[in-house]
Amino acid sequence: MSAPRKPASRATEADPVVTELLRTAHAPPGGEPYWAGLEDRIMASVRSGPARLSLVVQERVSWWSGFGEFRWTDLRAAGLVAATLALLAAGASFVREQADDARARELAMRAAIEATLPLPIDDAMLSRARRHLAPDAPERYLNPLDY
Amino acid sequence: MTAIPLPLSAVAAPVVPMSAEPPTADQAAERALVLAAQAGDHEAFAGLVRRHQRRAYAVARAIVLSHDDAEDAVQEGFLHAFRALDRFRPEQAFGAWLHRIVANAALDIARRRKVRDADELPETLASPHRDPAEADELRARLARALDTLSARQRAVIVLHDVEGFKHAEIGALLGIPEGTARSDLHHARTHLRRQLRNLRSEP
Repeated sequence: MSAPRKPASRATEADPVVTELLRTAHAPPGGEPYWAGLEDRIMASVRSGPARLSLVVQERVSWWSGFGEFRWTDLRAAGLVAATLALLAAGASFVREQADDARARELAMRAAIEATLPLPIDDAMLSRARRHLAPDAPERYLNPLDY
Repeated sequence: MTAIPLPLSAVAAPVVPMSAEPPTADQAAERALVLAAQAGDHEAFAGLVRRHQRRAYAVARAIVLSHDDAEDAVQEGFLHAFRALDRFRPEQAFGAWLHRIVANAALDIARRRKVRDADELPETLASPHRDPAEADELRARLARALDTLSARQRAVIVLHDVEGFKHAEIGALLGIPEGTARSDLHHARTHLRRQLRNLRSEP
């Protein structure tokens, strides 16, 4: 058996004074001429179609009105994304430039060394020569007192 | 210029059937007007406007804060209803269908106003359209108290206490469950009662 419903508290009942104030504040315009005029305006908009839509609607359909609907938050987000992409592109460009510079320096050094030798340095030749050296040869040459 | 169409839900639902009893002469006349308007008769649609514009205004006025916005919502609502007439089934209650469309137009205007003219809201409520007594202290206090309610709570209390809509009807109009309408009404009444508590004690 379900419990009987509690009687509505006083707070949930409509306050006649407040209701009367609300009724006055929201009272429709009186008089037949007003309603006849409103009917005419409605029928004029019906007959002429979308051109008679209210100003509130009209201002949304202009091609430039879309700009007004941008939110600053949206612009901030777009700006952050753009800045991140620009930073990544700049970083990639910097790394590539560094690699190019290092390669150019190495080529220049190699060219300078080759210019002082009677024969061009051949990588294969160098590797063949290294094979005949003892594994610790460079250490020995650089630090002869340790050996 | 092209019209901004209302969402489909605004014109396609809800189905509010008329009662199972035989239609009264008034209902039969309205049905005839609807059928004629659906066939393209503008005069018949004008007859529907004449019948429903006052109630449509009351619905819109409960949702928006100014007379001008309510009038805009009524005009837009009727225009959208006219365009969607072919989707209206004559066995439905035309008034309920129309009020839902007007309520949606009013909610749309209220949303846009909230975004664009937030600073003007208290002023638009207090500004008189026809009633010269609207500037008095009581009205100003009511305006301030209403401003502290949410738009939905404000609409619910006006639709229920002033216009006499039932909870279920308000739920259908505003697109909220009936229980939410009931709860909003309770909170709105309690809040206004508290805000205007010493109204009677003042001279």
